Amino acid sequence: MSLKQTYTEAELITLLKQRNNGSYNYLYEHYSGALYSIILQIVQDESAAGDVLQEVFVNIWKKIESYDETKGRLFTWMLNIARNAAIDMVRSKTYRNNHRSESLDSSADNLQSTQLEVDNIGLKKIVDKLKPEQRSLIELAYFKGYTHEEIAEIESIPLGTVKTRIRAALQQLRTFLK
Amino acid sequence: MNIQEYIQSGIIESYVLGLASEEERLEFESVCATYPEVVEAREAFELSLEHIAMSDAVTPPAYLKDRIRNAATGEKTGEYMASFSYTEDNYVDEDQPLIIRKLFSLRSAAAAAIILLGASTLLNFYFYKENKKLVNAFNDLSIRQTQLVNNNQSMQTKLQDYEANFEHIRNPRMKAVKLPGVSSNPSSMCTVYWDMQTKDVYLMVNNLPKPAPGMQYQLWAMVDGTPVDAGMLDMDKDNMVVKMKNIPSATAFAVTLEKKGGSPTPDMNAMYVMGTI
Repeated sequence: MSLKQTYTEAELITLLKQRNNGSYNYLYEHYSGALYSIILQIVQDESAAGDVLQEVFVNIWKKIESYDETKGRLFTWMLNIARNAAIDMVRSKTYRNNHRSESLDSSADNLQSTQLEVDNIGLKKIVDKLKPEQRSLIELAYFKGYTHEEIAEIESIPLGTVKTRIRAALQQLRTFLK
Repeated sequence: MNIQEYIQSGIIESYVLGLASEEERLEFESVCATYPEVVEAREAFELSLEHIAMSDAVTPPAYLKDRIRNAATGEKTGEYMASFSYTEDNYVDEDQPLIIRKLFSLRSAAAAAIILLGASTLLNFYFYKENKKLVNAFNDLSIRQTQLVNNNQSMQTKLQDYEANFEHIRNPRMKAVKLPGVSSNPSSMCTVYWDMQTKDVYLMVNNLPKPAPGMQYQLWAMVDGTPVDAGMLDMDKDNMVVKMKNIPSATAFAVTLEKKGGSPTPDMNAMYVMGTI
């Protein structure tokens, strides 16, 4: 089985649903880097990110049957699995115990100086182009997984304002991505 | 619905990034089923998102590759167990293959057992020491309590004695005879209480020097000009009033210091107090 082989997304999905081992290898080779990147942007700890990546691939392999291509692309589905798993990790007792001594800001600063440099990759890089008040809302909503209600409380702004600002920020993001 | 406005509203990004509410998600999916242009716009955003994610991919550490394949596809290797971390609490997924859950639970159980054993040993030692301390303290208290009970009993006895003595003195039948010190012992003083009905004699020491070792005070009653032994005074007992012998009649009482146990006749040179009736 050559890993150099390429599949169309439809072919890959079919093979994955058949539990084809070659398709698993392709999936890992092709997507692990992008998924690991989003996990690192949220978890900011290599060891924990590795554990999250493992959980993500376990879940992809196990739940591929429930993937519905009419609702979005395979990568979108996997990206959301990765984001949710990473947020769950950050909120887990184990993770919080291991990172208790560091404030979130200082840990981000520390990590910036290491090889991780998560603020300069992927979606974070795009989000950084937003206006500060939009950026902080996207940070809280997307990278920290807070609900709109929680954000309204954290930022002490009305729920309606949170919603409109996030929508505006998302519209802005799309123009940056194009 | 103005579809262009809907497309521009930010709902597509919100949906794709997983930020939409349940309600928004259901609405979006039904709109997608009706308007292909919404699906097109969604896919365009998904592709641009995928593009930026792929272009900024970070290759995960190489050691993860085998570990994750084994975990995901259920292949068993020893390496998997050895390299696993973050095994605690909410990280175990109910939906994971049985073999993984088994490994999880075995490892967690072993780790937990060791930790519990260690903690239990420390606690046992701590409780053992605490228990020993408490047992010692309890024994001390028990001893002190017994002492206090004994003291209390002896005090009660003493008090009863005093009360009984006092009853005798208060009794109107009781005749008090003062025995002042003789010229050689002017500071000595005793009192005899004589029950005129029973003829029992009680002696109260008001003041007598402490007898030398081997010596003891003896009370005498003068009956028809002859001294009769009226009993030995036991000063050790520290009684206020000591019951002496029964003397039917007498004209005087005297106390002399005799050798321990008493003498048949008094040593007149060792007389301390004397009083006539």
